[in-house]
Amino acid sequence: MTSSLAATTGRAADGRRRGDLNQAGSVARVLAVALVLGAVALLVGIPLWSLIRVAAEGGWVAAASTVSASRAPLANTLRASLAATALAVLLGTALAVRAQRGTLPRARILAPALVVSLLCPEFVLAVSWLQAYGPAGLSDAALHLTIPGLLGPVGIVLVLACHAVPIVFFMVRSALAARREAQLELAARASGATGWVVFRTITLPLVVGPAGAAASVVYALCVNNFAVPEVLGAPAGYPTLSTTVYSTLSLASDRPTFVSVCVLAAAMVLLTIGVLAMIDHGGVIGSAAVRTAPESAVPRADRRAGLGWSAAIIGYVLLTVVVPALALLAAAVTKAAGLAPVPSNWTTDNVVRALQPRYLAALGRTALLAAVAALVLMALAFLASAQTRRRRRATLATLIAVGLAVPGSALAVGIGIGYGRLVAVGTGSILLAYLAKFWAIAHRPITAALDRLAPALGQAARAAGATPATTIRTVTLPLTRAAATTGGLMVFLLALHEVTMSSILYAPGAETFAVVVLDHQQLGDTGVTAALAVVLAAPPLLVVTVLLLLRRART
Amino acid sequence: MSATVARLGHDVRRLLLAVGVAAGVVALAACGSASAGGASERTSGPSSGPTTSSTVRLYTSVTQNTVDAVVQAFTASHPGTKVEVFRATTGQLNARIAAEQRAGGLRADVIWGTDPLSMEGYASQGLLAPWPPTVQPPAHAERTSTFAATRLLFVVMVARTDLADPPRSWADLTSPRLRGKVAIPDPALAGSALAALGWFAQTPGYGLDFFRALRANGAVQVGAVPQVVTDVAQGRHAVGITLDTEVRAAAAKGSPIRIVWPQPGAIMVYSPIARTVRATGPSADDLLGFVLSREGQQKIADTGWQPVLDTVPGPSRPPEARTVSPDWTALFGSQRTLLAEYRTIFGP
Repeated sequence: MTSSLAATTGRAADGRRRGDLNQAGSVARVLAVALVLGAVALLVGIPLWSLIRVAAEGGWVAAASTVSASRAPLANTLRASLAATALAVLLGTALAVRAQRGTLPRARILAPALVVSLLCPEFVLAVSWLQAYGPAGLSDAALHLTIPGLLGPVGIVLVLACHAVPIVFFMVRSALAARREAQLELAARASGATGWVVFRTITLPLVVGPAGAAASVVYALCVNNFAVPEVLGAPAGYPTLSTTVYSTLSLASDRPTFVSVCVLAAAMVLLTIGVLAMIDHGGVIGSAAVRTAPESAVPRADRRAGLGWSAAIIGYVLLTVVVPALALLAAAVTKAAGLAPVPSNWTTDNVVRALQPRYLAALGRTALLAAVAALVLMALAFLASAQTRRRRRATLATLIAVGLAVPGSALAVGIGIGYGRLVAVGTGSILLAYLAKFWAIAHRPITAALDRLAPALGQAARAAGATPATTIRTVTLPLTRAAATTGGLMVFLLALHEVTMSSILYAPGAETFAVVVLDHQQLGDTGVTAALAVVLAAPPLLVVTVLLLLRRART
Repeated sequence: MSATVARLGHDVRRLLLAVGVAAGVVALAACGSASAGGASERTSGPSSGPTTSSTVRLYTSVTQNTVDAVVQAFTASHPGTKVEVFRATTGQLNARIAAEQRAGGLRADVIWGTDPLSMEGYASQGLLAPWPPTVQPPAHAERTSTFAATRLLFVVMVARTDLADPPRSWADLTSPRLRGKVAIPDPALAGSALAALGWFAQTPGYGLDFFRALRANGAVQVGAVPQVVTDVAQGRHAVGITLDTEVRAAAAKGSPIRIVWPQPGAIMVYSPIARTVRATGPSADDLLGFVLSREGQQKIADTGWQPVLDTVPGPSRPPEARTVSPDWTALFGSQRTLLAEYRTIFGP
């Protein structure tokens, strides 16, 4: 009797405690929602509203006429971005799925090579490809081979896609790493399912969430890319919206020009957000039916069956990473443009000039800004991903991506107008710009990883009496660490390489490193520009190398 | 219950602490700009806030090495005056100026541009103050009521040294022997290229038909002016239209290219400077006066440009080199129309 009473009292106490915990969780969620919505309003809403106000000054007829006059750049942007995204997502996802299963030959070469490829700043990417495979480039000089159509839409799509493959690879791989539930594919094959059935019913649901998240990031980055279409598209008469915005801004700073720029920026936002909203609300956010096999489940025969893959990966790494990187290095150590990169023409002058204290100070300043942006955005991304309702999460994801959709120059102008009276131009406004622009980059990998988490894990922790904070700390964070790190590192790299917004918002005497590079590019100093790009890539490369070595030593 | 509330309080405190730490880091980074400013060669003053009477804020699209040389010499000869420099491409400068106008007003005291067409745009928006009577530009230098020339840029041809029969006149660029071998800069991205477009459009015998003939002859429009030099040096094209300074600098390093001074003449563009309506006190005028002084002009010459002051020699030019100049007054205000017509030829 006594024990029965005690048990009843205990159950009642447990019930009250769970109720209190649920209440505590609700309060924390409400606080998180308020914080996230406030950040969305501050980082995305105010700059965007500033731009829309300017765009509306000319009236709807003028706005429609501006968009109509830019039909060709609009169509070019859409075509090139969709094609590059499709290519990058197909290749990057295929590589990531195989790498995660442990069936990818040469994975030890591929991952570091993809990291190197990510380290190449966007503003020298197209130039390095041109110097590698263009007319009078390395391959032309050595083998009389060039990539047909490199100057034009084919080249733009190819370079954008190759630059995006590492983004897809790391995003998908880190999301897949959030959950390792085994052997469904194997079981299906053992039960007699054909390869197509296994792909349709198991593999496709496995990757659709992470691949969709990666696709949305890559698409937004492609729409906004300026340097690649500028270098490879201009000679072929292939303007995109980003190059049109820049050339319009170059023409004048008067009201009609400025209104046109804001209208074009709004068109770019619609072009990006339209596609992203379709992805987000089409079931990508919140899709959780994903499973992958652990390495032990992979049959040996499958490992050996990868000769074709092996050759393809070595070829891919050679063509997209090694040769363009060599072209960049050759330019950095060659005395002048147009000289053969042979030892008699080598010089250390470019590297010495790139390493002067003023530039290194700019590099330190940029690295600090990028690191702060990455840390803040990782925290914001977790807060924003913690929403439980799928619809709300999808809407939030689309809203956060607006910052990524606004072209850099227009976002800088929006921040300048929106915060011009409150935040002095300089590091503070650049940081605001980075936060607004790259939030989606940190957010999407974490969302994709959270979608893959088994809900039962969190529920079990809560049922066992864990507070929401303890559940996050002991269950959610460890399982999404890879995705968060991927998002944070991508934000860090993109911020490190960012030039458009920084060059409009920097304070006198506090330029970022990318602004220094732009100065030399404007002087036509190809050698120093290449050397600066190498200097920019060196510190993160060193960090990644050390991390990889440590990881290898541990395993 | 009380334990849960205590735990909830703990969670909220941790959340607030995390947010506080993040805000602190952001504030720290924001403050960093001011302290970083002092370390740079570009400025010796604070990076934001209202300027004092002894601080001049200079917005410019002139190349970095020239601005550095002139500003360094100016601050050395005016120890009480600080100069804060914002340097960017013309497009980025325009973006910043447009944003500032809508957020409290322009913050520059002096604007030093690359071409008179952009500067006229600022003047027509009422951003420039009348030229100060205390500063006297050289008598023959181009000037308007608000801005004056500081240096001269020459739009010339660049040719590979291994090109057997280089062109001699602008018209030669349309000859069949140079089919598919000519690169031209985008006038939407470079003020000097836009000025050259203006001269061709105004000059009988050329007009926009010259560009139609170039297009028909397989000429390719690349990006900005330095891109033309790089493309010709690397052999993607044999000849191009560019600025003399760019060619001279690349050739001095060993690039296999040379300047061709074309007939009837290289197109002369001037780089103007002006005081803005925001400028107060004598410091802005001092900077204008210094740039046009013998010392300032010498610094301009030292960085490879032709000064406007006759007594300061610029880079050497061959005796047969002749120059022509657009009718600037006729060009002012017509850039948009001109560019639209050009885009029907070298457009999408």
